[in-house]
Amino acid sequence: MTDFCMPSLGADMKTGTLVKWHVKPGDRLKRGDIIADVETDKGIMEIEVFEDCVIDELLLKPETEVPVGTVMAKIHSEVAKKVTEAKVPIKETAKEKHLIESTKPPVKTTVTSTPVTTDGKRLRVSPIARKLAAELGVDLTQIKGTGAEGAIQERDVRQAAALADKVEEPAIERPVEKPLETPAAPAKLPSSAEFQAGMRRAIAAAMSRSNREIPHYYLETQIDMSHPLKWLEMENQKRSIKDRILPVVLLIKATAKALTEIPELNGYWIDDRLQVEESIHIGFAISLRQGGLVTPAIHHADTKSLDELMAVL
Amino acid sequence: MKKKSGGKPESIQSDTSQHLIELLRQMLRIRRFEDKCAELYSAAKIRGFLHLYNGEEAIAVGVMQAMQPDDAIVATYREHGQALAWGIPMKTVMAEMYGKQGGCCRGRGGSMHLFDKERRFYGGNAIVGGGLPLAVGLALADKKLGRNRVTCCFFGDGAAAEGEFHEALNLAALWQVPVLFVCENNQYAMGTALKYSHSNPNLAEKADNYGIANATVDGMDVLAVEAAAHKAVDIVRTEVKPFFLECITYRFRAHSMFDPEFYREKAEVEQWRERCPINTLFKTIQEKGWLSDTEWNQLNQEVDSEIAAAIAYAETCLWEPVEDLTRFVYSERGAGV
Amino acid sequence: MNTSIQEAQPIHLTYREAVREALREALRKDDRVFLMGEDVGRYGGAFGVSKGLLQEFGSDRIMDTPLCESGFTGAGIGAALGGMRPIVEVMTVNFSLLAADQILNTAATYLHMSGGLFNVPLVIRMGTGGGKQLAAQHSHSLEGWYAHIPGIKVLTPATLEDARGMLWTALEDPDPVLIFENTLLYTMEGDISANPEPVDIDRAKVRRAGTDVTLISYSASLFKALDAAETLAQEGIEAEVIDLRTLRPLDDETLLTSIAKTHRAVIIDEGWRSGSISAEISARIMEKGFYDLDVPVERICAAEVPMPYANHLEQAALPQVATIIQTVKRMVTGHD
Repeated sequence: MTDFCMPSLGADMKTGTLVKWHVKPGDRLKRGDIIADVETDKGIMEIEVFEDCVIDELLLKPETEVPVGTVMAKIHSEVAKKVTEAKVPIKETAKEKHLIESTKPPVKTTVTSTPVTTDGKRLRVSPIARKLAAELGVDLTQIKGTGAEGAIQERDVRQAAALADKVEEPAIERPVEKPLETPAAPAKLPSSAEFQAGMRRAIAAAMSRSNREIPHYYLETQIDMSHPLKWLEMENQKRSIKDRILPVVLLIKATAKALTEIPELNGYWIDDRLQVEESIHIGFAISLRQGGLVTPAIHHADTKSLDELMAVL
Repeated sequence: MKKKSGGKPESIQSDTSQHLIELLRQMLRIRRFEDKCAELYSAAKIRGFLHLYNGEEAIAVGVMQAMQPDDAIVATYREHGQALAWGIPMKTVMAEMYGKQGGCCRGRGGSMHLFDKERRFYGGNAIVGGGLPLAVGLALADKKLGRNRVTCCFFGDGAAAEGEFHEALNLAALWQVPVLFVCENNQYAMGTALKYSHSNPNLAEKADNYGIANATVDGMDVLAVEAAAHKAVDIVRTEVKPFFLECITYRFRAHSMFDPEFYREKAEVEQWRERCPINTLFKTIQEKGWLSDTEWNQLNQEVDSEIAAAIAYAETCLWEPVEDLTRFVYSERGAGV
Repeated sequence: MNTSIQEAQPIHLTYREAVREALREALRKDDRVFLMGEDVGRYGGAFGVSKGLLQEFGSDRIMDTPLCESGFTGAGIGAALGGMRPIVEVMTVNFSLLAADQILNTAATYLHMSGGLFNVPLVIRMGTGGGKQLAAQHSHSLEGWYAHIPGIKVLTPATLEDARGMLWTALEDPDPVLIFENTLLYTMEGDISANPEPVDIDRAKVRRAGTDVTLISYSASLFKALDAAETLAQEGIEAEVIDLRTLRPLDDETLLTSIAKTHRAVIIDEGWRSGSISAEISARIMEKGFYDLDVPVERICAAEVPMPYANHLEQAALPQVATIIQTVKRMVTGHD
């Protein structure tokens, strides 16, 4: 005896309602004969048997709605099947759902909170500004943003970081810093008027402080540069344009050399005594085309050749 | 089964018992396969849309007799008959409908998109009329490259209303390309009867308007279809021009599985069932005393065995790994013409 | 091929002539190549691109088709499947909608439906773009729509070098390639190498280096971006301008590398804003470059209106240089 089940007539058919049987127990059917009428969303459909068979038992009553795959009747085939195919009930196809990943139990995740200002409003911070603030240890709630609708942008964080350096850290922690050093040049130079103004402010602040706190004295001498400049001219003629050396490199090198001979000039007055610095770093002031000033430091200028100094510049 | 290349060079229709029994076998094979698909679909083994060919077997089988092995076939979503008659292995067709990797298209296409590169079977198309311009292009390439091949394009009465039908016929006639257009007029475009689709229901006449040689044949008589196909293919191949063959037929089953057939009367279906092409040929063969009961039973057994083997194959085939989902969107290295 | 010691003089030509040269080269190099489309032969091409080719190559290689976009595009697909290398010319993207079924349901899909059996080595060229007062049905920029479809490639050559070089690479591709030629570019003049190198069809190119903002564009809009960049430079804002060159595949890497540097991005796209390729690019930048952004990504697209006929309205509907400049300034300064 085999099961005759409610057939699936379409992917969106979930159930069928038996309307009426066309057979009774004992009836003989041929393959393709209609066994019943079934009502679906699309209307009443005739359903067939797929083999020659005899009806043994009708299990379902008319007007019953059942899911696809439900056994409706018991039948058997009289002729011994020469070939038996596995009659796989519909339920088994559900096993093939190995294709669909099993749901894992939910894992509790912690939601990281974003910084808010004191009045509880959400901060408008650009992604890169936020990233930079984390890197530089800048407190976003202390920054006034210059972006649209007060958004805190990259330049605001960089400025805040630079000013924080100036205001908070004593010279002892930054022996490399030269007194005239302005805030480190940012990786790029946004040329907005706002940034110009900001830079000017920073330069003014640094210079004012430098003059206030560090005694200044001035020495002057005259150096005849004709010989070195001539040498430079001849030297540069041998080189392609991109390899040529600027006159200022000679000055830097000379200064570095002089400091190796008179090390007392290369130091700080700290803790009521002179502390001489072993490394020789020369600060080189560059006027920016768009306005403003930066002073990169050329480290270990005494150990660098003219070419290396030029390259660093 | 599709003819091997050692077959007859020119198309002569044989009327031997061997040949007629072979035609019967091929049609029976398709019929049983389609019935089995209905059963498998009801058991949810085959999913999506399933369009069965019951009643139309004479067309696929009859036309293929006139084709050569390196000809091309373009078909519709109701193409199991064409696929089997053209020689695509039954087990790969079955596996394809199961959606398995061992299917002829790795399970990527399903019932409506059967393809076979070696046998030049260009689908399986779910867009009504979509294959006609394609067939014109295939034939155009053959003409340009001087290859003596025919492209056979199957489509239904519904397609004859689509713009692409008219564009393709016009191009085929204009460019004189070797396409055999086979219109399987089963009287209905899904649920819309011919008279509700066509201002002129004489479909072959449409070919007239494009200057394409045409004929109409009884699609329920495989011998008539075969004869008409031989004539048509000879013209296409030797004169290098298109031909339009309209075959009048009927599908015994619904348009697709989930179709309550409100649009046609049961009496009409019964009338056409009496003209079943398999029964008709069977009677002819029996009258000539060419097939004993034992031989007939054996024929049935062989067909059933083949189908059972195909199912067994499909059942045991693997699914394509989900990780391979995005393959075959673009050609992979080394692939391509 | 011998190489002269001195580089050969560059050739001066128009975009139209560059495409024609590309067609000529393809027709000469490969017998399987043929051009088919409306008015490509006797008329010389609706935009004059194929002028003279019928006389040079004959009607077997240059085929005038009837007006049946679906039919001849499908035939092109069939011919490609049958071993030819057809170039189907659809006069403009406006008429391509009639062929959209063949492009999507046949060309883009056959490889996949057949489980990898049948690739379609077809090239389809189309005119595209607005700005010539041709009104609503003749002014579409739907290349972004086509870029939605997996299975095809979508090219948008802007420069002469690309107009000259992309066709052969596209013909060598085993899959369908759509090439969109903005019709306003046909008269653009410039120099290309006498011995043009092959070009790739899957990378974007930085056309102008910059540091303050990344302008992302393609086709005719690229030149608006470049113009804007020139003006912005005078005000000290250095824009990096990227030519997408292909809309499918999109070259995420080039875009993201640029934005990692500039932290600001604007996309200029002649399609309608909603659901456009600019929306896709913006989404990708958000997904993969979020932490490099200093301001939201901006998009400058066509206004959401069928293209009007009157010139002032049409220009108001299309992306303009002034809008690009204004947008960039706002992004850089934080206010208008």
